[in-house]
Amino acid sequence: MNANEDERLEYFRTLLAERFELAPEDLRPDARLYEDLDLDSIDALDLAIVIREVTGRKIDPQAFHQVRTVGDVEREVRRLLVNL
Amino acid sequence: MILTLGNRLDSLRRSTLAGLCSIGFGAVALFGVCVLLPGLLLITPPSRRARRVRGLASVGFRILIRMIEGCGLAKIELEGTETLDTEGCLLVANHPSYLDAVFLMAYFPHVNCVMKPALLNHPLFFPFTRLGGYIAGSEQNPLKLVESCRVAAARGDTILIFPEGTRTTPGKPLHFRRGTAQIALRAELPIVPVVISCDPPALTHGRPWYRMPSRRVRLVIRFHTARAITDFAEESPSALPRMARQVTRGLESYFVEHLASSTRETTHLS
Repeated sequence: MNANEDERLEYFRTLLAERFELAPEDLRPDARLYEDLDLDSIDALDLAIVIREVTGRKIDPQAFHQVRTVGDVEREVRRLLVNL
Repeated sequence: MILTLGNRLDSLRRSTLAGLCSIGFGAVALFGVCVLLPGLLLITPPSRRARRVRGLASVGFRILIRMIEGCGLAKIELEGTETLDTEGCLLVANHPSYLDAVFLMAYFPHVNCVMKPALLNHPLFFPFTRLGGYIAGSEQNPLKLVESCRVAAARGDTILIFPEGTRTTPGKPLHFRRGTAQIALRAELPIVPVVISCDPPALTHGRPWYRMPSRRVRLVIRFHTARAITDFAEESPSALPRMARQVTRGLESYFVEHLASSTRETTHLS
């Protein structure tokens, strides 16, 4: 992970907090998107859009389906950033 | 309210009447499904079918309302109907009782609504719920739901929606889910707030027909002026997920405020 990737990840967290009205402290790695952070099925679509905005790439639907926690999403974002 | 013997007998009498109305409506629905609906389908061209089916359903609901009002179970009062134009709008209503949905389906002859899967598969009503061109409720494909609403509104349908997603639980605060806001924002539909009060509570969540109250139910339905959903936002336009959250809160506060003032009015009258 280089500095640019760290920056992008930080930007991702900022967008997440802003778009879904979350406090930075809510974004713990084990925080569950649906149960803890109150995201619903339509938010999931917007989340995919945020991922695209930050990484410039679309997340694989299969991978996205497995995502449950903030940690899961960040891992996917990292993966997409690294493969650039 | 003290539960005197008189009250209990009244309650029992009203519950019996409610039961009879349910059976009566069941018979009407059965006749509708077996005789009237096939007849209607035979003489209606496909393009007009869905609308006519909804019109027929509305007749059934009107009969039910007549029965309910006729035997003194409920009295329904309307306000704000003078300049009411709901074409292409979302009718956004709170949902204290079964009666409010029944009444709104009766009052607006071709009203559309989001049909729950349970109703699409209902053993008695499914011919109506499936042929009426109602919007299919779908958790799996929310954007399709939004698009269906957009299309329906574009052809002039009035779309009834309950932000709570179910009947209000008495004693618990109003809780609006975000679906209504998402639909209104993404399909860009004006909304008509419909504030409904039901006193005393009847046919609420957890109160079936055999637990009717001991006095006549007064259902007051107030139509407010149509407005943009963004009117309920706290800040100027921002990203959709954020807007949906703000607007849902704004909508909820609006209803809480207006329900509180209507309760105050009722208390003063009685």
